[in-house]
Amino acid sequence: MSEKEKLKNMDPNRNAHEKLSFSGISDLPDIVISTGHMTWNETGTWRYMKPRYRNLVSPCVVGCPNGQDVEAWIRLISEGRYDEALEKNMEESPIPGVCGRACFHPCEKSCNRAQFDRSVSINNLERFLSDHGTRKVPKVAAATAKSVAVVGSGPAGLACAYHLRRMGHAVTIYEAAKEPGGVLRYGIPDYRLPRDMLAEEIDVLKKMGVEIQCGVRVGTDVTWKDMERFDRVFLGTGVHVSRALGISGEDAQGVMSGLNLLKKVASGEDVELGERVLVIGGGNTAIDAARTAMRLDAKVTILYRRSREEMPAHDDEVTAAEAEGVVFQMLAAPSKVVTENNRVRALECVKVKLGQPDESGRRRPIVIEGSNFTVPCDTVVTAVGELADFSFLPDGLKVENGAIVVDDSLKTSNERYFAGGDVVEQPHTIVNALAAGKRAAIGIDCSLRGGSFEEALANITLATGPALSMRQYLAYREHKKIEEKVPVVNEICEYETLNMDYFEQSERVRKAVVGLTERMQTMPASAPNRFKEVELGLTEEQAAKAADRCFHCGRCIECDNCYIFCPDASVMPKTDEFGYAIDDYHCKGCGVCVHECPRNAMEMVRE
Amino acid sequence: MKAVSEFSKSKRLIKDFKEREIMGPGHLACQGCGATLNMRYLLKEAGPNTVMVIPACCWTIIDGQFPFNTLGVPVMHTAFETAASAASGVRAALDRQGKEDTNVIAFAGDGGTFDIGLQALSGAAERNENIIYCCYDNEAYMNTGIQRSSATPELAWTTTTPEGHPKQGKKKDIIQILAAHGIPYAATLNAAFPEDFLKKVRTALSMKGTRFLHMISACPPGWKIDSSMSIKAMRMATESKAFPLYEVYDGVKYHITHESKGTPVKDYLKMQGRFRHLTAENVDFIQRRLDYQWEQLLHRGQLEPFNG
Repeated sequence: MSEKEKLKNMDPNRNAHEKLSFSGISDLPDIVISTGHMTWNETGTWRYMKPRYRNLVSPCVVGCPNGQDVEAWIRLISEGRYDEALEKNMEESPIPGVCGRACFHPCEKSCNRAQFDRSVSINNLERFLSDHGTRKVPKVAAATAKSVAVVGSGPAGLACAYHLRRMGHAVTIYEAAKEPGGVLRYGIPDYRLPRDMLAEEIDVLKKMGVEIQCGVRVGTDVTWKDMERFDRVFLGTGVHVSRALGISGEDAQGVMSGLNLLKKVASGEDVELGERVLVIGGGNTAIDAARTAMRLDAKVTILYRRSREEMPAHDDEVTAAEAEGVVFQMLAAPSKVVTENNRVRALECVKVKLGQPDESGRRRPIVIEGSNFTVPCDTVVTAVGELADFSFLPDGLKVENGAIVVDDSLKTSNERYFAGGDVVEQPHTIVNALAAGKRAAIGIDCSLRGGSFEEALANITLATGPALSMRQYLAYREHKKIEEKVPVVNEICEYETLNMDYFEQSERVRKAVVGLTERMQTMPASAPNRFKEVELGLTEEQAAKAADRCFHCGRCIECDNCYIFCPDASVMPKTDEFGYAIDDYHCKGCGVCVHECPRNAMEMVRE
Repeated sequence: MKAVSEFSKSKRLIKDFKEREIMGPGHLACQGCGATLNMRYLLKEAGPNTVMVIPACCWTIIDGQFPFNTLGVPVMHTAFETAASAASGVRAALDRQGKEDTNVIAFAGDGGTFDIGLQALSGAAERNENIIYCCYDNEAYMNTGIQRSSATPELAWTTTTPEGHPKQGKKKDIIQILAAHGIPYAATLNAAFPEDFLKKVRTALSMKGTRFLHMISACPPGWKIDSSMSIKAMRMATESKAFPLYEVYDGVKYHITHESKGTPVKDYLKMQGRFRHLTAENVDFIQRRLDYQWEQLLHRGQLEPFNG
């Protein structure tokens, strides 16, 4: 029996087909009955446009300077697959637990949902997955016989070391302090970022084989000459010198910098603040210093020369400080430290008013003559900005405007040295430092392998950039193509292109905080756990709710709309893999599926 | 145990939609036809043990020519005015053969229901024949070239009510007519709300007696809309109260199944070419009429059924 005959025998309607041909009118039965199916009629020939599945880049992914694939791990959280969600997150960052707590989450600003009601609680979800997912040590590629030294173990250094190690390079981190973590360890107080959390995340790096040498200051304890045994060196040393106020009496006893205060407390040293503490500045360091002083039993006043709106500190932090009892003295600038026996007694201040905006876009403070007043205090904490210290740098590195000069791949003027984080010119945030660490790791890898950084960039930049995808780079460097479930077009999915008929407004999920009463009770110095973490994570129910609010902009999540609304029954869910197949022979190209896709994961293309 | 998110439970709008697909591709409907969706959803629930009775209407054509049939069930094509009486006959014949569990479904357009087939339908409803009568309502005689029917909405353009002489008088309230017969179940259905649609079909299938399903059915050529907009148009019809979703049990008990969002009817009219000629006063008039009808429906929903 031939193949064709076999197929014919398998067809249950084989007899029906025979009845379909009639030689003449006399052949017809008395009652005509249609038994054949219409599938022979290939209505696909009617069409001139064809629907196609394609994913876009969700705006949160590009909103994150570090290029976190936020949508992907939110989807995994909503499916209850926390371990995989954490793994997904760690493709781009070694410290999800830190970011989930201390990142200023620019992703939420770019969230399309913000234009509909309020953005998805991405930051809280990141913390949730770091709390509920099991940390897996990422795969390390085969050893490359190349070695890299990373100077500084802040977020930039950690990210750079992490990514380089994943590519198979030997990495050694040099840290001057006793413990690794840099600003994460010594600059962010315990009540915002618990030490254990940080230690757990740094532990992953150690398990991957990153060598961390603490208490070693490069340039002093080891020389730059010693560094020559490494193929490349990454400088992520950050900014550590507090800007001076530039007023008289500044060097008196009882005047200290905010960074110093935070560092001392973080190191477990005793700090004598006295009863009244005056913090000068409006940034995050000022707020951290003030809330830390509150926990050391002081009465704290923040002195800031502009108004609340101009404060560079994050709004949540300012609100929390206010709630904890920090007093804010706005529109006042210090003019003189009043001392007695070289010990602070008071601070003389002047009132200011706001004038025209300056180059930073904030209104410039103008001193009101003769408005002097004096605030008695025991300690003055200065937090008016930080500077980098370049005295330790090897000779010949170009420095401009208080930052190391680097090119697009974060290479310095010496091709063996790369630099990133606060030490180069970029916003001083954790996530920007992470992004710099990643970019430098890619730059270093390219230069070690002799590859072109520009070519790599063209392959791994997410939409408009500048965020880069490490996931794509790891595939690119092995000359592999990532097999996506749905083809990806590297463009941002805009809010206007979503179909809002399928979304309802819902309340944003807020995480709980430790009650103020409880917080205050644990605050006195006598209490055992006065630096207890203030913010609590989301519960599983809250996380599920928060994840459900995600639009999944530009990404197919198999919602079935295209399949349900197809008038030609020509969209079929695939049984063995993700997504749908379109029956090209019968699709008439009406475009209903494309219009009814809630998240713009389909488009019509000309044939 | 991990909390199952609402999302993963409701990710698919309709969980069992993949099963029991009967209507196949290759049919002759226009691009973006709403009537084919109505048939697809209906047959999905009714299953293969069904006989369809189709009078003259779009579906006479869509189904395909002899000896082909796009529906996987037996279809009886009848004359324009006889859908309900032919279905009654099929029912009697099947009952006689002992096939009482076979569904008999008449599937007629608005012309064959509101105008030409009304007497047969009224007779069947009065006798409470054990059939399901579906009217897919594209609001004109679309198959023959967009002539006005008594289902055509007020002031709409058709080829027989051209610009300058738009259709006068409101759309016939067919559910009221059927409810007046006291039939067990009458409902309005909209394919843009598949969950609600399937639920109502299931309710109808679970009952005996004459059941009437009134389905809105977007017609891209007749409504003068882009084929991709047909679901959108149908959804807007319900959200703007032009086609509210409700059901009537035993002709008295009203139950509104979807609270219309109250989208201004202007948005619904604006997207359709057949309403392009409307003035602001016209739109305002239609809006007030729809608001009144919606109030009327709410009142009916609150009225307790007569309890002798």
